[in-house]
Amino acid sequence: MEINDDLLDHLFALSRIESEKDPKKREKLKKDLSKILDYFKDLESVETTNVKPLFGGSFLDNVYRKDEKQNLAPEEKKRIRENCVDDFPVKEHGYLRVPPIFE
Amino acid sequence: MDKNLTIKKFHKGIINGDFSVVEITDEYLKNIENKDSEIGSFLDVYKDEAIKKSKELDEKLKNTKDNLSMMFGVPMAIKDNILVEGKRSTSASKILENYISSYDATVISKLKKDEAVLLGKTNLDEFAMGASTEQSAFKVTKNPIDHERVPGGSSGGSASAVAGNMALGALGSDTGGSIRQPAGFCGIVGLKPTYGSVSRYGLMALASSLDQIGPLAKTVEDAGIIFESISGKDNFDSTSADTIFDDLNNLDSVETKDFTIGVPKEYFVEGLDKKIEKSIYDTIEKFKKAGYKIKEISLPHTKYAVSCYYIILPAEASANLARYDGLRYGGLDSLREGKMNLLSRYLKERGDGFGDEPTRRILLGAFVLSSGYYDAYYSKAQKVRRLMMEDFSMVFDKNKDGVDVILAPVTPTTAFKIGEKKDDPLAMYLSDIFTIPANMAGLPALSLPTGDLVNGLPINFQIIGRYFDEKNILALGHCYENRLK
Repeated sequence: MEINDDLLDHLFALSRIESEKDPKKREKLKKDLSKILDYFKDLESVETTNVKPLFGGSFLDNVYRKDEKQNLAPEEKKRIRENCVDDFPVKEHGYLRVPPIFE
Repeated sequence: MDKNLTIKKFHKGIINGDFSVVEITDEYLKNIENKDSEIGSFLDVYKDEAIKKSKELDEKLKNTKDNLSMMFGVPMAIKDNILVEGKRSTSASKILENYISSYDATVISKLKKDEAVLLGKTNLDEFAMGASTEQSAFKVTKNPIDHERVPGGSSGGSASAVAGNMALGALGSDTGGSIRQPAGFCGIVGLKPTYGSVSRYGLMALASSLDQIGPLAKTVEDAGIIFESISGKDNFDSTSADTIFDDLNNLDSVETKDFTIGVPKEYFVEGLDKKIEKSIYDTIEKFKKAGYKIKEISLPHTKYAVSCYYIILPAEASANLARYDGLRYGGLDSLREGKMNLLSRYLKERGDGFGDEPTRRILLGAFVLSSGYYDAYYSKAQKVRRLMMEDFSMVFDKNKDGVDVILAPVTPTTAFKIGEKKDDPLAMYLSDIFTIPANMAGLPALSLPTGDLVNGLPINFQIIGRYFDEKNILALGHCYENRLK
């Protein structure tokens, strides 16, 4: 499978990563990805008619906990909230500030 | 310092008053200070807190020495993709250079509850993507046995810290071999638990259907002690299983002599270093002489492991790493002040923040999941994954004279040179061939030294067990380590 420039840029766009501009790095990336995808060809020889895809990591079912309010002390609540807000690079009045979606 | 100190000996030592917790913590911190500028195991060291905690524990010891946890006072190193509240957790990525964890991972809460001492955070391949720890955005970690060689990866910082006597035990994570392979390259013990045995709450997700947290230690018994402390049901990880592991510090009490050991012929193929092959066969011979039944088995889909894995992993990783958008988790310093719209910010943050390997894998993930390629790649890989899992179910089937454990090599080569494979991603991927299958099937696997060296470099073998059979594989490993090696 050959990765060309158009496909490479499409994949960058899908991944929300700025496209690589350095021509040398682009060439290496195209070559590496093509080589890796070629390697995957060995799967074509495996007979998988009537085999169901396996998506999870185990035979066990997901177990969900009840979605209920935790009884936390006010200072505990404050700490958890502050810990999260502290990680926002741009914040205002204790809230996350996001860049404009439209110019 | 006693280089052969183990958790078990440490525990006895503090109870008998042979040494204090502070003394031992201090020795490890001194080793870090003296050696880590050369080895590069640690990204952050919690010197003051470690000393403070150790002093507190010594005070506690004055009052009572009864019912102490086996992890009491044990100086531990933590892979930097596991969250410790109030501390930087970077996953060795520039995109998280400013991220301070807002909570403790469940494994960390458990270690804290058992009164372990946290020495600091260890280096890894960025987001645990790699097999050499060369893909860290911050530094290259060296193998303590030979400084020109890699310690393996992605838990290379944790493995080299334990092997280099800079921690008594460590936590790593294993998605396709990231605990077992570095344990092998550094000549120590590593356990990848059954999928579901250990909560991943607070582990930065790489591939959610494969990731497991596990211990790295000097001995099998120590690995068991750490595993017992971190395992168990957790409501915050919906894949966590309701299984209790106990009494893992008394492995001698587990009877293993009736075990049938399976040897999969597909693991002894071209590409496996001849000296490693010989060492593994010699190991099998030792078990045979000790009276164990050895049986050749077949896991026919083993050769597809790398293809399958490098389709499924990038697919899951591309989704998991979508959360790093520059709006949360710290963000890059260079972009803090820039005025740009939301999309430009995503593109710039992720373009500047991710290194080569995560970028490559995210692109690969986007490809295999994209319309037109999904069936041929992603869906096909998931079908072959089922066949790989069924291979294991067949050989382990108790009703069909199945084996109890599988014995196999961990890596096709010993530790390779720094730089040798860094620019050839496919060559790096192929070195995961023997460790991937256990993750694909979700099975527990223990990596431990055969005791042989090639040019001074250690060789490990792995024991793969049935689901939640950690106790049995640890017991068999312990028996080898103590009596057969």
